[in-house]
Amino acid sequence: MASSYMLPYAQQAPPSYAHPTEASQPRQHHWSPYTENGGVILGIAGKDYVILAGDTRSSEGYNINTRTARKVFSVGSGLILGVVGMSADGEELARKVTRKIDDYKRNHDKHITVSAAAVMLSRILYQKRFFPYYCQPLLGGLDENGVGAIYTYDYVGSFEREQSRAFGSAAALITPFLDNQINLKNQFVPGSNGEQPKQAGDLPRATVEKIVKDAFTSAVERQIEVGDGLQLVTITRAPPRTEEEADDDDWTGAAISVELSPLKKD
Amino acid sequence: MSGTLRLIPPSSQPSKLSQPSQSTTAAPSSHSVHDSLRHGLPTTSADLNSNHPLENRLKNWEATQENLKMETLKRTFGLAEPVRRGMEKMIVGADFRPAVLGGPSNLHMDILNGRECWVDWEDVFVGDGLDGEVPDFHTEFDAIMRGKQR
Amino acid sequence: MGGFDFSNHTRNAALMAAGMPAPKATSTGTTIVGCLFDGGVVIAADTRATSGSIVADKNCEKLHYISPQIWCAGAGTAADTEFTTAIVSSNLELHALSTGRKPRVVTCMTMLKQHLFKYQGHIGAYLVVAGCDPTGSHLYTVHAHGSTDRLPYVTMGSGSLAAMSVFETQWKKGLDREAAVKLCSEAILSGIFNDLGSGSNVDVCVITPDKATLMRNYITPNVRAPKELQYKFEKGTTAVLQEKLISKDELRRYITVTELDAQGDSSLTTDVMQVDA
Repeated sequence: MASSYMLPYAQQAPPSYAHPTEASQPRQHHWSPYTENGGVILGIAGKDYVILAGDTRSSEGYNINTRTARKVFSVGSGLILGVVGMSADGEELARKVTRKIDDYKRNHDKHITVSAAAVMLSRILYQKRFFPYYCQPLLGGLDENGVGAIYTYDYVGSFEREQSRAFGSAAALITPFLDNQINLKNQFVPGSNGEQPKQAGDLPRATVEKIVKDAFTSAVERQIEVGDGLQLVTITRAPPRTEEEADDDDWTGAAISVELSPLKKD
Repeated sequence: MSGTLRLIPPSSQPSKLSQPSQSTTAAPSSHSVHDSLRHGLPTTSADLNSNHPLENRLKNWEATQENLKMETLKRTFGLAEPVRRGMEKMIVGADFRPAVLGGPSNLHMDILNGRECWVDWEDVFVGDGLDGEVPDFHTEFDAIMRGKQR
Repeated sequence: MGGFDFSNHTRNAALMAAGMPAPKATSTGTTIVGCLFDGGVVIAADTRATSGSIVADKNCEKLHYISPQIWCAGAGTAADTEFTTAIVSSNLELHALSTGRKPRVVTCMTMLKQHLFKYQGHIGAYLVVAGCDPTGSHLYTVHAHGSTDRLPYVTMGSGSLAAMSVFETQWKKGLDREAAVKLCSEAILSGIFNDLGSGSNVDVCVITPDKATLMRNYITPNVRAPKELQYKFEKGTTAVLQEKLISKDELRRYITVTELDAQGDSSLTTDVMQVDA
């Protein structure tokens, strides 16, 4: 209803303000354990890198809870996890995944692969099939061949490896842009007169980073829940091990870098 | 005039319906028979429950305020005053122009109603004649003849 | 006949009972404010219009003309604020012509509240009315159900709390014009940055006994960020599925074609296409 957005306190008007006909009716009080904190995350996998980015706004209704919330987390073993939806559940999920990845390393004395971590995350989500984590996760990492991998999930654990994906309140705005610019959908080789679709190739990381930034500056223009800052996390292959690092258990072969840049704040 | 000093119409939905409502009956020869060809099959439930909460209020808005005015005049000057004003309106309201031709544009009536310097949504949204909200000439004439017969 | 059309209410009620969502009206989420000063009154508004969580218009106008010396800021359902201020503007002009006097702000406020009360809040217009008339400078708020307030500084809309916090910390008696404009702009900026329903630019209108000055986009703190890449497609990227050539002679059958000289004198362009009667 349009009018319920009008005033911040419209939804919680005390009963004495209610219209007599409404007050005489029985009212069901409803409490929900879930809330929606908005924001958007975006993941793109390249041939030797992964980019996972998210905005840093966390909101509730028309209010901003914080302008510096991070949605992409390093979960250990060279893997990163992006979460969007209810931030409390997202952070809890990231903590749980971090803990389990650490357990894996201690139990097996090796780093978990991104494909194994992907299955593990699916199990974590499905375990809460009837009281799900209210967040959509994106898992990123380099696979056994050093190729970028993005795993995408629904709330309850169905997952799939993908090239690019956007989740969150601006997903519907960003997805068609990614389809067109990353997967080159609806683009034909000029001169082929619509016979030969353009083949998506390996885009250089610098270009993809620019596409990601443009996706966010565009989403900020039209989605009120997206803004404030951009957290851009990149995984690249680490340089070959040095002598001192030879016995370092923490060496994963992946280098994670984080870049923070401002977005519009209105 | 109902003798009350009500300022605004009651907000309740109509709780009872008198047979078929005047506006949905057929020819003058059959006052109380619902005209299914013109108005579709009659359903009491739809007649009772299908109103937007505002519809009743708006429909009776003018009449309620007019009633208040006349009642006040009656109490101040006696019955003669509202009767005189009613007669003036009857004289001025004799003007007839079919609704399909835009209906009567009666400045004298506007003046008697005290709204010659006023526009309302009724003056802006006059209907485009497409959804059947403007009665056709025959229906309108039916209504006039019906009035004459009584 | 006439007035609002309720004819689809039964159908819509049935559709909604069957699970179809109600149509979404464009709401001007909105921060609007007003403030009296010594010698006049200022009103201001942000310029974001939303439909749910999507920005429908980044630079809409929420300051509405009522009469030369009376302006109105509107929050709530966009269409309602627009039409309500329009019809009251018309009636106020008729009233002014009939009485031969400058319209009073209190008259405007009364017309608005009576109109809105009649519609029981179904017309979702939340307004700040401001103006100067022979009795002085006035500032009112009108809520959708018809209640009104008369105060030295007011805020409305979803950003009203953010904006009011600015007034409550900075307002003092006897402001001059510049200070009032600054205070109102800052209140709007607070709404723009702290309320998701408000955004983009600040519009301000200053009304004094001799004139009203509308300052559209008085502050533009949210300019679009430049893009990193260019998104131009090479010619031929989109397939041509069907081609049809229409010659100029063929075109002459439907419209008048005037030949231009090679330079293409732009002053002639208005004559180029005339639809034949």
